[in-house]
Amino acid sequence: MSSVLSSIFGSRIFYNWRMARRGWPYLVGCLLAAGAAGAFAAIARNSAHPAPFGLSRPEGLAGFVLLALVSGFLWWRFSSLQDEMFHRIQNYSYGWGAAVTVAVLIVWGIANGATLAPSIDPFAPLIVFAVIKGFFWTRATRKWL
Amino acid sequence: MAVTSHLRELRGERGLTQEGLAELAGVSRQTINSIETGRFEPSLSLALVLAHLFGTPVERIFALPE
Repeated sequence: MSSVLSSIFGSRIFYNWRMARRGWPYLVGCLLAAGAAGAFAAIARNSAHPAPFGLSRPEGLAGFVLLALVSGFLWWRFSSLQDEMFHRIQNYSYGWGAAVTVAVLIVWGIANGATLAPSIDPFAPLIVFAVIKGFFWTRATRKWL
Repeated sequence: MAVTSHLRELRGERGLTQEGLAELAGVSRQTINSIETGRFEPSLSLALVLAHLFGTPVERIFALPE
């Protein structure tokens, strides 16, 4: 959810609204699925309180995984209707975002092993990736647009 | 190696706006602008689409520097 939102609101993803209108139902579906995935993620990691909606943590995790996959699929369908500039920006930001996220997590893991940092929250990689990807998305739009 | 683009000249000769050319080519206006200013090199398929739209060989639009 935060990854998609940061792409849309945190940078110039829609540098052309005419292009963005192509496949907008996919985008709306993607946002709805990402939001629902976030709600399931909250259920999956909430151990201190009674589970909302009567769902267990494994069910919350299953719902998160399923809806995250649906959201990703719908984003892919939306993306496939955009032009090659969009794809170049997307490939650049996702590629660098993934690489730097892995590097950050490796350093975090080593620091945790040396008791210099707290343990990694299961959902922390998603947040780290969203922030870094948003940075590189903005960098790409400034580079090529 | 940067590719030299003559897209702006050709577009001017045809009296097309960036927006109009973008519409015909199926890309955004910013993509056309980035190609014209040399910040972005188009894919082979987009280069061929542009050549087809102008009715000219692709090497008249894009060329390697002398």
